[in-house]
Amino acid sequence: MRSPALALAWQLWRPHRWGFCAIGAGLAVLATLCRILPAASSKSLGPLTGLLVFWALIYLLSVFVYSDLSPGAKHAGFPARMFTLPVRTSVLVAWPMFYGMATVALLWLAAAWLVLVPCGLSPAHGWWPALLCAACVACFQAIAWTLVGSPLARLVVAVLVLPGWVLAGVHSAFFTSLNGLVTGLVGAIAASYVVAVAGVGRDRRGGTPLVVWLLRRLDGIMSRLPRRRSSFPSSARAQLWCEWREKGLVLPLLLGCFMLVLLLSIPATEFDALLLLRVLAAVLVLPLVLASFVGFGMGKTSFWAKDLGLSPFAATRPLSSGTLALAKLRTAALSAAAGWAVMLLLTVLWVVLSGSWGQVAKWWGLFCQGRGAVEIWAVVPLALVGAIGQTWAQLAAGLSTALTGRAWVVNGVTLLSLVVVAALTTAGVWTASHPDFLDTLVGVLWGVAAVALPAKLLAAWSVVRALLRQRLLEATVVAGLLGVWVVTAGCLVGLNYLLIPDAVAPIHLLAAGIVLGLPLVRPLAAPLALAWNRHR
Amino acid sequence: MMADDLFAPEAAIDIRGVTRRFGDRAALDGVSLTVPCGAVFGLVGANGAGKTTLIRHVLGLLRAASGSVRVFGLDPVADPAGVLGRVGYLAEENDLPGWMRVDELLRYTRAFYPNWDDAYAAELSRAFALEPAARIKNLSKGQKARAGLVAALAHRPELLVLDEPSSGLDPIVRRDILGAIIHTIAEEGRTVLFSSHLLDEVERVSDHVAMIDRGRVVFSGDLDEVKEMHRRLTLRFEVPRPAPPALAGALAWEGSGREWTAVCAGRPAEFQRAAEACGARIVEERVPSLDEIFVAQVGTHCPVRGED
Repeated sequence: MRSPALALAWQLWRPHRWGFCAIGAGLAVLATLCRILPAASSKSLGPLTGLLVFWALIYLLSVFVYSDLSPGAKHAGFPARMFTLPVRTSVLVAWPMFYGMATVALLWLAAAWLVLVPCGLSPAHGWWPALLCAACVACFQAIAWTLVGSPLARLVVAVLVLPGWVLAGVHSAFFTSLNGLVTGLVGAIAASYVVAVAGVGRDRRGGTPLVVWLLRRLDGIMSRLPRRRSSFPSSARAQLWCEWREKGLVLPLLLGCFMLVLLLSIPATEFDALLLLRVLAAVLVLPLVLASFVGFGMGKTSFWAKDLGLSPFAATRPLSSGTLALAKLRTAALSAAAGWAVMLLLTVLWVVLSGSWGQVAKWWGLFCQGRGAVEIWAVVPLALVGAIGQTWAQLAAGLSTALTGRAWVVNGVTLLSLVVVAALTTAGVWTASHPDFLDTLVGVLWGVAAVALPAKLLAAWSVVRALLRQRLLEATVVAGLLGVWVVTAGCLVGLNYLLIPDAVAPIHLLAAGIVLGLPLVRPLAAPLALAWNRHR
Repeated sequence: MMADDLFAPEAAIDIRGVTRRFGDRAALDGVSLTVPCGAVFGLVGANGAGKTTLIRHVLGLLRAASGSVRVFGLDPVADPAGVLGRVGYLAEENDLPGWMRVDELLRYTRAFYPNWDDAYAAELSRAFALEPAARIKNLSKGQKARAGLVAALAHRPELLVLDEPSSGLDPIVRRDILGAIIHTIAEEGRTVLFSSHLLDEVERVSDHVAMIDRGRVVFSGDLDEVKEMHRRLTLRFEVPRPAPPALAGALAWEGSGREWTAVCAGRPAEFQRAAEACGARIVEERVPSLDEIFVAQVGTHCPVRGED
């Protein structure tokens, strides 16, 4: 290995080889299924392929934006250890950028050629998304290495930019010529390269990014403001303060960024009833989806830490593992409530500014027809408590998984979740194209529920027993956690009962789905997970 | 939780037969150690010898695979809050939260310790020139160590545990840390356990010492007794020798020709007879420094077994 290009490729390949292999294996399985299944059935592979490509793209972005992300690090851009390599900056930037672009382009082309085109899900000439993916990676790399110095700021920029890329792709595909699209994307790649070389060159010379300079000035001003000096009333409150300051704002901030993108898109978009419905659905689903990811970060000592283990500083707090875990669970609850507050306030603002208020009022009127006042006004508290409770449970499930401190647990849970989502999506798509399969599917789901429900309740019982036996939590606190779960589940069942007619989906089926889908065991097991991590 | 009656009440730390493996490698292999109350206990050993692993067992961050650990008679895994409330800890890898300001760190830490001494914290902060509004992540390595030291000391812990506290720090910060240890000793009944590569520091402040090598305790005890059990001998032979002789108790040799120097362990009275038995006379004999004992025990220059 005597070439810098090969050395850089090896450095990227070696730590992530199993991830690359997993993506390749996923594509191989889908390609095989595409050839085995009958033509009519192979269309159900579309959502699965989309899911795989989406996850793989997120993973590859994280691989190729290979920045130093150590907690508290002063430098969070291009890896500083590489600045001393005897290679010109243009080369240092060019190879990782090229490898990133080539890999994501290959990912799309492989998905298209092996699955989407043979299954009739994509036109044969649909190669432009490969270029779009490549430009997206180059843009992210330029942002990560140049514009921002803090991981949080980088994530915010990513959340702001990613929807922009999706919109650019959709608009370019449908509203402009292919030539214009290609020219624009190649231009974006070239601009990203130039910006990244300038940024890495500046870092290599010891310069300070403008954003970092501004953040330092802002921090200097903040340090002069009066701060609270009074003691915390208890050690548990001090720990809650620490957790909240470190991780509590991540979810509300990400949701706020998403809503900011929506608000900024108002002048450029015409919202008809269908688009409005889709946006509102996204607004409802996004906190729950994001909570699953953010929860993993909340379980770590620092949100940005690569290491899942508890830091000695955190592990040597003179608190029981139960109290430490409770501080995390309380932070998750505050974060869920703050996230929904941000989401609701900005959604109302967006509805008003986008001129959709009339349409929303019309839908509300339709909903109110034939319903009593109690029934109508019960929806609001049920939805609010159900949404916050479900978001908390998602956060708590993620943080409990990460709290184990074992990568194999996190990877296993992630893989299992992906398998369940993929199986349900495939079953849903299959049933949509084969309505006669519905009865069979319902029968299978009842069968699964008949096994999974007792297993879940048994697991919850075992966790409660272990918590009490190991004296990690008081019985009243355990009862409180169970109460939160029961209230959340009750609100969600009540909401579904009010909103979904029995003919569409029987309430007992929905209730079983809610009881199965609402995390219970993992939130309860957070103190056990923390103790397992703390006393290795 | 009640203190375990099986463990000596005068021991701050009592470790018995602790074994811990990481994969195939034994990080600790049947380690037994007692740290008396009020002692300044230095833990020395090469990199990877098992010092940090042992300290992590004391703090309850690792669970002993076999054997037992008691701190003030309590199990640090079963009762972490009970043990850690009486311990001040400073680690080599200073992992204080970088986003906190110095005053926030002290305000946060104060909440965990009922014995927190505000006046002492302020005094230490002033002495170390810590800027209250400065963020931890913006502090130099030495200032971070000082901030960690204030947080570890201001609640006047019964046991101060320092894991390589001086590693990579300048002499002024090292002096501050040693000063803190000495100050802690001066307070009645307080115990210090610290590991270090800087053996002159260990020798300066410790009254007890233990050496660990490849997960085993090589020796442990009162520092003066340990040193008294070792001798640095210079032997002169009648004829030049290509290799050192086989001398009972010799740990390491250096030299050539007629004059060879050995660091030996054993009863000093027996060294003269052993030297005569191999045809040499002792021309110099002195008590070795801890550094010389360490090098002899862990990093031999010449093979210990010489010619017959």
